[in-house]
Amino acid sequence: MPFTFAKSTATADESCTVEDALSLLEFLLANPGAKVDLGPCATLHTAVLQVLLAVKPKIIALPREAFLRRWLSPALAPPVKRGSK
Amino acid sequence: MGTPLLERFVGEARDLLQAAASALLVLEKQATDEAAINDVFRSVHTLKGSVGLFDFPAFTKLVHAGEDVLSAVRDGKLGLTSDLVDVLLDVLDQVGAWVDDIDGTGALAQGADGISKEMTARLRTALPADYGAAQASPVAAHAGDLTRVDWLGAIPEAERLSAFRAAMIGADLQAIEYVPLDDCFFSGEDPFILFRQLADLHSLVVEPTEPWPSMEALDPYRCVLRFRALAAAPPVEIETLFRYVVEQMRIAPISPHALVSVTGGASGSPVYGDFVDQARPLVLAGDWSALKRAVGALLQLTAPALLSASALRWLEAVLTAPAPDKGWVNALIDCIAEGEEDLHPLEPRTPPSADIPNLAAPIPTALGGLSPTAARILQSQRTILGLSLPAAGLASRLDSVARTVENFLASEGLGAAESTAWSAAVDAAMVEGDCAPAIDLLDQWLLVGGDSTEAVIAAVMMAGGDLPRSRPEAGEHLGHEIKQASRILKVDQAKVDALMNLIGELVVSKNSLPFLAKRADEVHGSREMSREIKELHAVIDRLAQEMQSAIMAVRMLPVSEVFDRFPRLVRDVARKLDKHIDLVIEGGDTAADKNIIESLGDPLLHIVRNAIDHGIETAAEREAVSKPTQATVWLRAFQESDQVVIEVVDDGRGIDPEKIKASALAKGVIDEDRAARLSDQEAVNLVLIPGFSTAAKVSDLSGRGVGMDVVVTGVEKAGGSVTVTSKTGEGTTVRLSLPLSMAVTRVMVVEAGGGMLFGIPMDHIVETVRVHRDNVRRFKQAEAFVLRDAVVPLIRLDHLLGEQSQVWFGDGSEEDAVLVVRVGGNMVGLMVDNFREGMDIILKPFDGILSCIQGYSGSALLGDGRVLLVLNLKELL
Amino acid sequence: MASTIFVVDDSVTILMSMETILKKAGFTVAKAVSGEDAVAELEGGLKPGLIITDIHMPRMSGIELIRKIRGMSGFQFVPILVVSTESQQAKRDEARAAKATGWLVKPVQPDDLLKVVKQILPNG
Repeated sequence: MPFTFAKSTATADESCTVEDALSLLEFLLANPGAKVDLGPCATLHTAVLQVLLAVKPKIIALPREAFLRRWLSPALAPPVKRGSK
Repeated sequence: MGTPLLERFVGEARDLLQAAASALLVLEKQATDEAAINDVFRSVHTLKGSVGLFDFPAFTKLVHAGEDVLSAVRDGKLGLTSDLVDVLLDVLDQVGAWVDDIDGTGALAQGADGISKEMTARLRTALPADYGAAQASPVAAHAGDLTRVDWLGAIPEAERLSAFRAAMIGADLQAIEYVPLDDCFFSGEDPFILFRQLADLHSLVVEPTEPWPSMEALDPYRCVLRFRALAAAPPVEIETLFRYVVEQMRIAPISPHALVSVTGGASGSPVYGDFVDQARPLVLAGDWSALKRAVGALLQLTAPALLSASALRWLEAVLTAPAPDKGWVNALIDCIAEGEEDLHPLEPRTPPSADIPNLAAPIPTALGGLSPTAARILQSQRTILGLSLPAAGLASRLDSVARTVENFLASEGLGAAESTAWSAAVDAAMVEGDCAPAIDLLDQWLLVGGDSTEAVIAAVMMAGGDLPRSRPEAGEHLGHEIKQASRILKVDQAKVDALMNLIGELVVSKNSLPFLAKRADEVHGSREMSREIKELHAVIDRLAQEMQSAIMAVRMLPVSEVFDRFPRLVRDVARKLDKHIDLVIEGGDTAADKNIIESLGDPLLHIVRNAIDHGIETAAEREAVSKPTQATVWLRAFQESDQVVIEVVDDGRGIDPEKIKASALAKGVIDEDRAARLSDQEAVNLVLIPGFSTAAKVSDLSGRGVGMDVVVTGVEKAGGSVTVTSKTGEGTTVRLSLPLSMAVTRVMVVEAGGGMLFGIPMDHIVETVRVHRDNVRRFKQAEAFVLRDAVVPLIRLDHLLGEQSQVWFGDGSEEDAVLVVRVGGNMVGLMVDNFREGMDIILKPFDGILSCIQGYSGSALLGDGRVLLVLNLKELL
Repeated sequence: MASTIFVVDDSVTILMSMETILKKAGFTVAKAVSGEDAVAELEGGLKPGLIITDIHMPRMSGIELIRKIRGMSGFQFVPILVVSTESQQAKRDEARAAKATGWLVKPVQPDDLLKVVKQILPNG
């Protein structure tokens, strides 16, 4: 299972696949205010990204992987929310 | 022979060629047989795909042309005439010959290019004139909407700056907008992942195309995202990356200045006025390094959020260019001087539109946009082609020009359409032996410039049409025929043979156990041990037999392996002789050992040729005796106990016994006395006698001085027999009867010549009897005995083998062991010293110097290490 | 985790060459010589990260195979590439309509194949 769901935190595995989008969404629905730890994530399927963008859970760690970190930070880390209108 | 891949290819190619040829013949009879059309098309198509893995251009081109013709046939644009079938069969034959070359030498035979060109041209002439054109048109346009790039300003300045800097040092900036289909996940797509592959990504914004629904209403598998990116990658690279989703994405080149906007809080500090005064002379003087230092120093002092800081950052970026644009530098200095926001400070008076063309439209690679150097290259190639040269030099000249232009197209990053058009033009030029098509295409490129697509299509049409074209997929829904495909393992025959040999050895070793048991009893006096060994022998014997039949099953092939070549043969021979013949094949799936199947080929070929050549009358002759003008030849196979029976039946004129007798008399095969006594069937049997041929004249088909005796020899070598029956005026049946397998032979071991062992094939043996010496009758030198009212000649095996007869002991009441065998329809009694057991042996034919010894089929190794000689009774008697 | 690539083609020559190329690049390769075989493999529990199928196959065509796979549970998202000598729009459109992810043009060049495969399975 690429996401580990524990209490109120979903921790991503190295690879988040398209199938994980549904389980992540279900977890976030069942645990309002749950946080997401993307630290270990190195590949992220668009469907999972879409869930993150739509639900906007609190991200406690961005992926350590450089590409994801670089391009997800503006979209997922709200403090410097820019680049969209 | 080359790599395993090449070996695999050779095997596969042969299968495909056979399948194509068979389907083609079906098609010739029944032009509307869709399954056959698809079969032949698919075979050739697959062959084209496979050969493309190797470097055999002549092969590939010819198969490609064949595929085009078949495609036209399949699309109903081309009728399949007998002549066209001839051409296609010739092509298949040629390709088959090349496959043999590849198998033998790993390369095509010399002259393959010439043959390929000649045959390709023959095929192309069969295509309707407008075929290429009709096919080329669907390349057509899918004009997309043009969208303005109005989102550049929304990109964070830092990202725009980094892109701008990249552009200053020569990068090619592209704006990309990609809106995946909302069901894209169900096509296995992952849009986000594509951007990971983009070489130099400067900005990526992912947004929803519509407001997000509530969490509860969110469908995680409906994609509603829009991706906007700025990348410094050549358009070709981006197109390649997004090629599966071009309809959903747009791309536009971005001029660097479009990225620049100067925003921020105003600042009235006089320091900026000083900077402006200092900077202007530096710009005039072109002293960029001094200006850079001044910009750098002031930036340090300026709060980043200020308008002047923004302007300074852009100025710094502009100055990273090796030769900064003075206009831009001045414009930015103006911004600082004026202290006002300017979203487009560097916009030229007539702003170039930043419209995004849709990628699905015809690729707008205008050759007109070439640099002078590039244009010169094309021009020079054009000139070379225009020079007059002896015809012999044409091919090599065309070849070198073709390569130069191909490289040129590739280096200019031009689309596939151009290179396809070019190779089509070159092919046409090769075929015509005239450079005109290639010259014309170059001319079009050089003169037309601009929108090349139409010109290219026109050129391709002119060149004979070789654009990739759409082929509607007819008959892919053979629903009724869906069956579980068998899993087939292709194994080298040598491996199966090795297994067979091992089993043979196992059988031999196993056969030594009874000897061991006997020794245990007789020499070591242990009856119990003997019994145990015998029990063990029984078990191993059963396993070995099962193993043997399993491996024999592996070696079994359907008779269709041989039959498949006959439709073609019958067709060709019939056409040559102008006879109308329908070939009916039955029981093609009857299986027999591979060796048997292979030994069938030549005899059958001969019989069928005979039937068509001699048996079948001409249409006129048939009409005269009120037979249908269309004759029929049946090729039948079926299994009869442990024999496979092949029958070749024709409804021709039959064999006239009187003619045969006359002919045999004339040739001195029989004398008049005998002729008078011959029954009709016996007369017919004469055709099987060596040297006999009834052909009135020697035709090039079957009358090569070899008659049916060749068939008889071939079949008997494989342990089979041949019979011929015929009814005058109604037809002839030739029946071949062969063992299902010749891997294992069951023999009876007999003693003769004073203790020597001989094997006699079980299928000859009728029975074993003991004959009272008093009952042996003598007629002159010959002996005979009566077996149930029949007189059976008696032959002493010792005599046959040139051994001295055993001296008679005892009196007339002694009995002799006689093996009654049937050879060629006659019963013979073979007197032997003693009968021994029957056994299964792996018969090894004599080879080398021994192979010319008559009278023996071969040898086998016995369990106790002795060699058993197996007799060939037909040769002996 | 190395992803398995499942190659379906009625030509053993093509299968062998693709297998060689992909294996050399470090992928695990599974093969089937027909659409029916492919379905049987998938039903038997094969879970490839990518399926590459020929379009022209006897009986079940590549396009029918894709439709079939998309209808099977657990395979609606798997990327599928079709391979065909036709570099034509119509064939691609048909394959895309059947929910293929993309296509490869025969003869498949090793560079092309790996480029596309790595695009789809970047850390395969």
